[in-house]
Amino acid sequence: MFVLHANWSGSALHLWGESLSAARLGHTASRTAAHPWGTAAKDLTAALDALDAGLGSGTPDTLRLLLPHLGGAAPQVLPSSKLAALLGRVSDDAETLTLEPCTVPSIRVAASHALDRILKIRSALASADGMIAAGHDLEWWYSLADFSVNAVADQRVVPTVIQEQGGGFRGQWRPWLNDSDTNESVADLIASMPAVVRAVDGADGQAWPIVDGFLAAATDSLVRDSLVAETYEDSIEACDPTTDPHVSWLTGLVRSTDAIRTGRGGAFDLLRGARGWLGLLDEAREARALCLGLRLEEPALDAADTGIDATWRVHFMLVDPETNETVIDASALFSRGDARRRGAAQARDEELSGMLLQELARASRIWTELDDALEEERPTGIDLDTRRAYQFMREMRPILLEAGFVVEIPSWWGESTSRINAHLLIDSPDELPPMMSQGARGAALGGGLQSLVGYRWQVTLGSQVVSVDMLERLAANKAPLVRIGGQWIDLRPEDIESALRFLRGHPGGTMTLIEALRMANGIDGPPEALPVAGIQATGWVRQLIAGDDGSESFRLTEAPSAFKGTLRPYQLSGLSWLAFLDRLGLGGCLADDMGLGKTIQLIALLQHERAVSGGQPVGPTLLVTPMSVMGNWRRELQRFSPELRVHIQHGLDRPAGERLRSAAESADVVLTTYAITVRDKDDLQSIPWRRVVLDEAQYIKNPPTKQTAAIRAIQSQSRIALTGTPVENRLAELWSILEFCCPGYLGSQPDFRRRFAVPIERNRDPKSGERLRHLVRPFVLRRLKTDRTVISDLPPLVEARQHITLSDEQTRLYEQVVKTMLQQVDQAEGIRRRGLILSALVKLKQICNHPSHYLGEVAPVAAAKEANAADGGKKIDRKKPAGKRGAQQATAKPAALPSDETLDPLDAIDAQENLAAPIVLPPAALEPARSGKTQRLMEMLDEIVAAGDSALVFTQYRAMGHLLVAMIRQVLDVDALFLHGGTAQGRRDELVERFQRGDGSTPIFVLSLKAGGVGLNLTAANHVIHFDRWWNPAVENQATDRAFRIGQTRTVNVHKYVCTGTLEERIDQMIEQKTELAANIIGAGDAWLTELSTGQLKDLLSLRRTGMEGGE
Amino acid sequence: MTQLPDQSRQRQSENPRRVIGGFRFKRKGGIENFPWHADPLLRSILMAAAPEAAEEGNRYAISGQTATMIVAAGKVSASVLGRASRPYQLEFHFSTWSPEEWERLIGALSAEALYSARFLVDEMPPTVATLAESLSLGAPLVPSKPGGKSASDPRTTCTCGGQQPCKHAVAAMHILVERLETEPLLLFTLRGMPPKQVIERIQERRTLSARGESHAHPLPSAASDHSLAPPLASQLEDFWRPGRRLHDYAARPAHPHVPYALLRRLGASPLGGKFPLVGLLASIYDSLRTRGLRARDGDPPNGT
Repeated sequence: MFVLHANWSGSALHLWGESLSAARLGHTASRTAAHPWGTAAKDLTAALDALDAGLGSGTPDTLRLLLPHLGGAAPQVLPSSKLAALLGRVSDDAETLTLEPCTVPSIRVAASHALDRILKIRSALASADGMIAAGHDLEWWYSLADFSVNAVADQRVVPTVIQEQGGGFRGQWRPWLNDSDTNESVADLIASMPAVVRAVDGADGQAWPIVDGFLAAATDSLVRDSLVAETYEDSIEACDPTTDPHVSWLTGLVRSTDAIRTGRGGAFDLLRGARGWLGLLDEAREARALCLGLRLEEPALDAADTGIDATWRVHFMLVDPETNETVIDASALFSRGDARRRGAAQARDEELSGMLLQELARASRIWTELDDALEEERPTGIDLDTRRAYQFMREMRPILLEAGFVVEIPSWWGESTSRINAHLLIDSPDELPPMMSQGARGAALGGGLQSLVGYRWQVTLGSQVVSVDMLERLAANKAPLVRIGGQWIDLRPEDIESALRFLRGHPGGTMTLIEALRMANGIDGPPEALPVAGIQATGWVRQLIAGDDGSESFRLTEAPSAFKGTLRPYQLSGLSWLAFLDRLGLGGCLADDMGLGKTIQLIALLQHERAVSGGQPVGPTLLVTPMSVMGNWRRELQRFSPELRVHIQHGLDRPAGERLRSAAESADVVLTTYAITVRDKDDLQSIPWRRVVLDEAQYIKNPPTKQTAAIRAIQSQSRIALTGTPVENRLAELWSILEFCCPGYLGSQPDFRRRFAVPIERNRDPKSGERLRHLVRPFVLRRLKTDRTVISDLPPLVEARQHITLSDEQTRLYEQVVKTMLQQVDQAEGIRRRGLILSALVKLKQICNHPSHYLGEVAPVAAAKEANAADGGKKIDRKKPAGKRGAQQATAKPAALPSDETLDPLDAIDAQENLAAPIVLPPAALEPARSGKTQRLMEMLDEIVAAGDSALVFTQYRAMGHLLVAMIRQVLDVDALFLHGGTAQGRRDELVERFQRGDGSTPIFVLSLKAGGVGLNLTAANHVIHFDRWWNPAVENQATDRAFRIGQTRTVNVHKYVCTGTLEERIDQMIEQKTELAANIIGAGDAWLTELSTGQLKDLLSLRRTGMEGGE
Repeated sequence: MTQLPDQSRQRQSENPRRVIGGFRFKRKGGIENFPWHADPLLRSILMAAAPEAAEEGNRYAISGQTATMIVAAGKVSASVLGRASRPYQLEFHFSTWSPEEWERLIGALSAEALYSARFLVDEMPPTVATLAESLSLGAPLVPSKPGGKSASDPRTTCTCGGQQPCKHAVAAMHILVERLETEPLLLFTLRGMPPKQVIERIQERRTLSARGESHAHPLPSAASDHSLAPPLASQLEDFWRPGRRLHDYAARPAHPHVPYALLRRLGASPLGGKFPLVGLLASIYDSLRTRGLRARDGDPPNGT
């Protein structure tokens, strides 16, 4: 496997790779400065050919790059960010980096095939997994490739002439980059260019030649190939390039070769002429004191003729281009040019009229109708008939605007109300269909979406409904604009045509709700290009489509009385929404931001339906969650709705078959994990569920996995998805989730991709985005913390415990350590006993963090010490001066204990400070699923990053911090910042400054509690995660205050991780309940534990089974 | 020093007709002390002409008999009124440099910044003549072989039918040389290329050698904004990932599609060709839209 990179050098694209296996083996550079892991040319060729056999592989070559090296006598090249993630490499700030040359084998792809290659690589890598991983720099090349394709599709390219040194003249197609918005895009592309892209040795680190070279080559090849294919050459075949400069230019533009053929000396004139011509495009940019304004005035309401011969007038004026304010109307300017104005005033007027005439001349090059006006001595405007006015608004206006003129037209233009529109009218009764309101068990899946509604179509002009007869009359009239009831309507002939076809073809009738909603949003149904202005409905469908605006119509007045919590107003409206969809037998996706309480809303729904049914059984809800949050759900269910009967389908002894069936029937909620859902799929599918709820619904991935298929096959009346990721920005995820809760609603996957994903993601088409938002609005509710209605509800600080379930591996390790310790402790006394207890404690904490933290896979040096420590305290004598938290410790512990302080977690960090950097972690160490905590952390960070938020992650252990940084890099593809005890002061400031910049490039900051818990100002974060616990609320609060302090403008969410059933939970409870024991705990390190009896220890440390362990 | 015609021996009886508004040779120093780039031209025509013709031509010049004069590339046409009622039409045909010779000269002139700088303030450095000589161009910078033969430089023709150079030619040459004194770059026109074009081509060449190429399209301002790409050495820690402005770019909506926007903004071609370039471009832009949309939907560029 290798990581693929691309560079532009010598007018060609070079592809090269870093081999993962070579890097794993730790190959180092030879003296020739060859890249130690550079993928051999033949391997590159083979892998690229395998991607797409038709590529024609390119030529083997060599590339010399300047790459970051780890400094020292023999600098070692650093892996790219992608390779580092694959390797699990953690960079340490002790590293000094230098820029050194280094050669690497490459495949050279000719300029004319560069665009093709980039696009093919993208699509091949998107679908294939295997030999090639895309380097992060490729993302940038994809953007550049899209930019050039878009330039061609939008006709934003121009022909040019190029003379190369040494004489030859060439024709070329290039994107036009000089309009201000395009220039801004180019600036963005240059500014975001990864450094490696311009790191070709000898190219001086320049960015523009790369952008220019690629864009020109990409545009020219795309254009030229298509012109050659369409034999444009034939059109100049009979013409003489030596006498006609146009033909001469075209010889370099439409043939497969770009050489320009000219008569003697003609090439230079062509270059000059072309330069002058293209220069005209640049005029809009030139600062002009005043520019021409054109204001179209519609015929007066009482005008004699309001039809095709009506008189429209374009008024001329001079406008200040800065403010768009009219300086003077041409009519005013010319009418005051009489004898009374003298001297300076008159000179000023003359200057103004000179400007006006000059601007009119400039505009007339684009809009030739102005030539007539220029023949007048004092041009103040021109008259247009309806047809020409229409053409002015539809065709000329955008061009004139681009060319830097100011154009004002009547405000109705472009409004959908001034076009022909289709409206879908849906009739539905006020009351819900009986089938739905009864919620009959075993009803067909998605019953609501499939229910039939009556419908008919209406065509409107403005606010008037029109008949077929009237449309036919209008068609005969052939006027592009008509005035109906005092309002002008943009009556494109093609619109009338489609409206007629449409009305004849769609008399109305009944269809399913899913068809109706899709049709109303212009997805299915009428293929004719008639804008569907919207949907009007009566009865219950009206409530459904009214969306947020009409939330009053299904607002509940209060939360169910048996619910043991308080719902905030937005949570109440979320509950109402869920209940409403539920009544209709419809599914939905609750996608509120993390921290807004999706769990509580769902629990309230369960409680609510019991209140509504009046005690009648309503059937069980299957709640599928990731293993890591299962404990949390259980706890929250218990806390808010203790009367709900919960069955936990987990563990080795979980029921199957008939036993499961009866367990489900006697429960209100069956709580299970994604993994179990696959294993028990046959049993689960045979149970008629009231509802299936997916938490962290983004687990329903695409392409469909076995898991997805198993979940979709479960029968239920309705389906609800919960997710905190911004689904509207992750279209593949959105499709998968809605396919679960509203099957069929978004159409097939390829269809959805073609219709929405590609236009929105690649072409940034705002219209498609708007349409999709409309389409999903009835079924997706997403509130942001920043929404005004929500923000006023939120307190500035929200603290919550995340109850984490241990993984199987963690459970095993944990029980093993407890068992061993209890045996040993029983037989030991004094110092040895204390040592045993303390070391076991460290191990248990490490196990809760991640098995590899305990097993020493993280950092060999430190782990070895800890492992030794575990051997009964032989080497617990780490050098650490005592007395930091002096008095209390001194009193709490006998001074004879050499080990107690070193096992204080905060000190343990310092003990590890001499870790060798860099660290490369084995792949297994980076597996988040091995630990409930890391699994949950990755889920949460993914949501946080996707939502554009940022987080602080506190841990006591430096080694764990390293592990988290590497894991975040590998799993989330994000480079987290890391601050620990070994970070130098200057570096600390730099890290803090980078994080506080808040530009979204570094959203995650991992800090060791000791080094980062005090003194820093990190208000850019709005999430604080305490990954492991330091049993002192004051220390934790101090850390939390890095984010929650003056300057913080958002709600800060604090998440405290607690592993269910472990000592973490036990001690957390003691502190919460302020027990007597707790007073000893706080601030006392771990020493108090050593004084406990074996029985107490057993009670405190041994794992309490909750029925959620041991999934196998 | 060439002996000049003795004015006292002029025949006074037959004066030419008066020209109103004709070009008069009013130079204070008379025909003496012309600068190097003008003097040989006048001196040589006075030598080549018959003494009477030279003498009368000088008088014609002073009295303003030259009614019109048009200087074009390689050719000067003038009308000179003599005793007859209608003016004589005469022409000077100069030897012009071929495109290849011009190319060589412009190549040599662009090698030093001095030349284009001087030319821009309408000065002709004397070294241009030596340069032209050293390049063994077909003709020297300053013409000095006037006559009626085909090999003459300039070859003079006149509707008077007299022996060339005739007095009319001499008269017109006075006027031309007087103009040349203040507009030395006119010599380039006489050799076939207007000075403006010479300057442009020199600058073209200079940019070409500085940048490696010269092109008809202007560059966007982002091209020269060096602050966008900081030194590589300052980016060692973040060497591989695209910067955050890629997101800004991705968030910016694509250019709205306005059919033929650029072509319509360009308007008619100023290149003076007869082939309907704009029309063909319009149909090319149609093809491009189709092709570009296909590429957008995932049909690769070199797909066929």
